[in-house]
Amino acid sequence: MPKKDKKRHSICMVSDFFYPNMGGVESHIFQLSQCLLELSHKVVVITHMYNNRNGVRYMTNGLKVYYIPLVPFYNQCVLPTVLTTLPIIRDILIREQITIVHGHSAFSVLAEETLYHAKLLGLKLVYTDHSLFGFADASSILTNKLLECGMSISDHVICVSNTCRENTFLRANIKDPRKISVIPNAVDSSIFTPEPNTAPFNRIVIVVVSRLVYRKGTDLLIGIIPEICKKYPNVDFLIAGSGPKMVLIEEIKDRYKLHDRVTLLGSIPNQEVRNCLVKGHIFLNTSLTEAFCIAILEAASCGLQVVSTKVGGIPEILPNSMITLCEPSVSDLITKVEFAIKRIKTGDKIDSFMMHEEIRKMYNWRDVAKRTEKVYNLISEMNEKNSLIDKIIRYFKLF
Amino acid sequence: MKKQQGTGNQKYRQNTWTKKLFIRHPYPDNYVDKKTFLSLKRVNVNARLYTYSEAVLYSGLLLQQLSAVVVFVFIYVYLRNNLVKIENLAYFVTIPTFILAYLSKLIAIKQTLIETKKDLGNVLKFVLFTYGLSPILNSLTESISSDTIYALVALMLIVNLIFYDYDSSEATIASKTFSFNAALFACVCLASRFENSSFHTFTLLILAFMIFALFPEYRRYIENHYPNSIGIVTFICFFICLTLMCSINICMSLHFDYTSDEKKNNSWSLG
Repeated sequence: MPKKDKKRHSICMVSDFFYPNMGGVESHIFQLSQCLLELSHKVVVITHMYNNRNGVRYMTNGLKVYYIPLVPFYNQCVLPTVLTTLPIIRDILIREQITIVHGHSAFSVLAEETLYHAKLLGLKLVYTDHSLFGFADASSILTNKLLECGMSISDHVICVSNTCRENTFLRANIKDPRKISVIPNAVDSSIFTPEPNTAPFNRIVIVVVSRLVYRKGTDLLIGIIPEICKKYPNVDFLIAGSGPKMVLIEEIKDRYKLHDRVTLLGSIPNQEVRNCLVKGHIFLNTSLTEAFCIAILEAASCGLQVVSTKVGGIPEILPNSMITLCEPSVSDLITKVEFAIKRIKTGDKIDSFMMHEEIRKMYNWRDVAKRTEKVYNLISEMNEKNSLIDKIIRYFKLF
Repeated sequence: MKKQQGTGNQKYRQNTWTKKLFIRHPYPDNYVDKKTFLSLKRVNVNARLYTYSEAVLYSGLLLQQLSAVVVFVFIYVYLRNNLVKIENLAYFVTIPTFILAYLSKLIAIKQTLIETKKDLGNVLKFVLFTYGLSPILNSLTESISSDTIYALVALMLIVNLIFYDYDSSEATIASKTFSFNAALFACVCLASRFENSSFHTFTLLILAFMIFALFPEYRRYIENHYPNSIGIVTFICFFICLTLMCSINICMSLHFDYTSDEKKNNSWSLG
């Protein structure tokens, strides 16, 4: 049977968050683009300028990145003026003969604007949402309305977990839940390999790698450090990352005299994260809200025991044998961390290399790219009514 | 031979759809499971629904503060028009009210002797301080015209009503200190109209403290501990206010006459 001609798409990834910034969304876009290039599609990335990084650059495997000359205005996003980005985006989309525009992250102003411009040019749109949002306060209400505008014109929406899908469905008032696909993130397991001999033999090290902000539950962390250090004299903490709550951790160190038990590494570059992770036995994640936590996957891939709060999409990521879930309160966290410590002491845990193998099979970027390709194939076959009167009707349905 | 990536472990394959992301199932990515989709959605969990009687009764809190403000203004008007002698006001209204209120506090809350002593010490400090300051405050607004003063007083008392902390909830604009400061500003403006005698200023200031600082706390205590009595308290406040109002004919008091001699008995005026 002859192989069906695979359709080759010209994809444009748009977001305010890309290299040289490092983070979840950035690495998602990069890895996905690389795997799509491997599947012989054409991928182009559009983002704003970073300091002096301006113009067209080429990354691995010929990934073309357009750093548009727009200065980031607030929170790494550009100033939301819909019309000033139109000329340059239209120019790029026509020159590269793009057929599908893929926007990332609800916070990204550039992605929203490009979606509007691409719709004007009659292209197909996909939007990926990476975060969970509330409904109650003023900023949420406004952002959700903007999101509703953006999602009403998208042809398909991708969410990184089932919880994220339900959240996006409610936030953006989407009419048909089948418009949302769940394609989880993945982890590059070739980088995050375990190395059991690096971690100290006679002590148990708990690693925390996160931004130290309220959202990531740093207050819970501050609550458990003194208790655990008091109860278990051979347990140390290794904290990487910085943020506004760093001073509170230093305060705890001073107050309980834990200078040799708690190590604060500050902000570490992305290439050092793996080396930091293998120095520990347990990975602790105390986020108060999280759509999908790649850090947990990275830690599990390095063979660490994972203890995490049961929020957002975290219960969906790993089987119960690899992760210990707890309620987001100090007392329950302490109980579960003690449980993990006991498991390490008695040796009752999965072998690091076996865990790494399982994660490698469960989550990988090539699989994500294949599923995304299915979404692209689905929308390129859709023939939606796109005349002016339909657009006007859809616009009025928003308000 | 390298194992093909992405086929997934046999352990994590199943035929039914599940919410876990690491399990391979034959359903497409945008499959919606009718049973579990939005099963955890909760609507209006923290919504507080008020009954009609609750709403009406608690709106009396607004009326209580309003009548306190109005009572204070009327006491000023009475003093200005010499309808009441200052000595009567001081000795037969202010002091007995204070003593009665304090006794009721002692009965309601069992205080130790030390706390009572501290309370009385504070009262003494306040009284002496005000007594010392009243000659200065006396002539504070001598050169300012009555119109300005009255406009300012009205504005400040409106600010007091707007920013007053009615329900001790987390309303954004409610601020105890701000409303009290505005009321005190209004009171100092009014009290300084009595250039001739500092005793007037002193009494009015003490009254202002009682009406705008102590009385709200009193009301709040009653509201918290005896919530059924809000209606009664509202009625009492309103009744006092009404009694004072009926003794002055409102129409005539709107007749501004700067040239009129205040000693004339038949001309009531605000000025």
